[in-house]
Amino acid sequence: MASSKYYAYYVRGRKIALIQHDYTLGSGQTLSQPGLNAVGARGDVLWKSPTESITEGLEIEYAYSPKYSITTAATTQVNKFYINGWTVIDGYLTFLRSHSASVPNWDASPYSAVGDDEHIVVRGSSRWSGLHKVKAGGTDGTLQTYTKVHQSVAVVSGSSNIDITAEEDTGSDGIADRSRIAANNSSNIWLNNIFSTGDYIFVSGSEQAVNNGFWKISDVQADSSNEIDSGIYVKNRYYCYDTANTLTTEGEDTIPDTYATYDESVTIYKAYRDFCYLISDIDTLNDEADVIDLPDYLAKALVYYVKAQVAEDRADLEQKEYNMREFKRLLEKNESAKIWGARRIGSDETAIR
Amino acid sequence: MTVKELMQRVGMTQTGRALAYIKDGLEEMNMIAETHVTMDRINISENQRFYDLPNDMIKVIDVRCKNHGNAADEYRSIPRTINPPSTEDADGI
Repeated sequence: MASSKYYAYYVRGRKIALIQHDYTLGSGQTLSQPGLNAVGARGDVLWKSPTESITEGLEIEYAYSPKYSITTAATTQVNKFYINGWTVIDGYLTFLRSHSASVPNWDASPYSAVGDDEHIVVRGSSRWSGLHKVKAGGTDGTLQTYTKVHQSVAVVSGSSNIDITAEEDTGSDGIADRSRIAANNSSNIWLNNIFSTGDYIFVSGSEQAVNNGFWKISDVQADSSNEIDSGIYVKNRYYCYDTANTLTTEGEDTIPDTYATYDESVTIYKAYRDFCYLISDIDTLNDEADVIDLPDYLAKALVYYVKAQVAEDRADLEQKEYNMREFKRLLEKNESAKIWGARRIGSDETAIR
Repeated sequence: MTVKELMQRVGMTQTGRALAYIKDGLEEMNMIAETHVTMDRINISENQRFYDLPNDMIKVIDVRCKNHGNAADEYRSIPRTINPPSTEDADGI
């Protein structure tokens, strides 16, 4: 059974900062439930970033603009697909999906339900929840969108010069614990300098399907004068289920399984792990026949808003102000129309009656 | 009401311009009074403090956490702090 926790948040820019009260002091003393005044000069050492990972632990309720609607019920592996994370390709946000021993082809069924130039809605992402437009679905598990990302992300494009070894059993205990990826000598690709231990990578383009996918780097080799001895080791593989009835959870394989291939033209993207899902079959507001998803009364308010903007373009500020006033008046009337009867304040359970 | 009907009421003929103003209006409307509300659940990661707000979010209505003040897997509203903790954390903040 889960234990009770105590969280608080604050907002910084476009991010929400989540902090958790850690009841245990260094001495091992356990404190009782804190008050918010514990967030201060004396109590702040008890407030930390979340002390454990919780699946779907943070819930944000928010108002959004109805610029799109989801027209079909979301069904996993029909129009709802889970993804392991994302990277950036040519400056565009690209979602990544891996399977247990291969990567999916976004051009083949059922993944082809996410068509090029169609809109998708992402849910459950710690960064990309919302509407995106698909640029191209690849045969290598990548789904590129038109969303620009102003962030530089490492990528290595091999040209018949990347070697992937079969899994190794360094402990001689009968259990494989790592696989190595390194570039050929004279390729000038030093993978141990490009990636770090703990980074996630997405490998695509290997002729052996099992080598492609979403991996975590377990270690990097020490600097060497040869590229082939300056590689990286991968161990854990993260994947989405495609046939089992555990479609909504992320799989993690801690025993690497790779196939030795040499002189490969693979592409290795630095990736960000962010297990979430996307929904296709999105209807966006983009032509005259589209219905604006508003009640009739609010649609009239919207007419005033558009009139105000047109008047502003004509530099007719009097008309603009009039229309904006009407817009707000209708909105307020709509709000107050929802309130019926006398307003009462309920007394607290500890109140004196 | 369709986009075309709205354009006729306003007396506009340019669809692209009308759509841009309609989208602006829908945002403005949700800023003042919430007409469309949804919620999103995000995985909490150990030692990760910052989480991006949803791309399509206009106004936060509530923030809840699983097991906040309970052990029954319920989502309950969490309080907002005025001052962030001053001690540096694992993600460098």
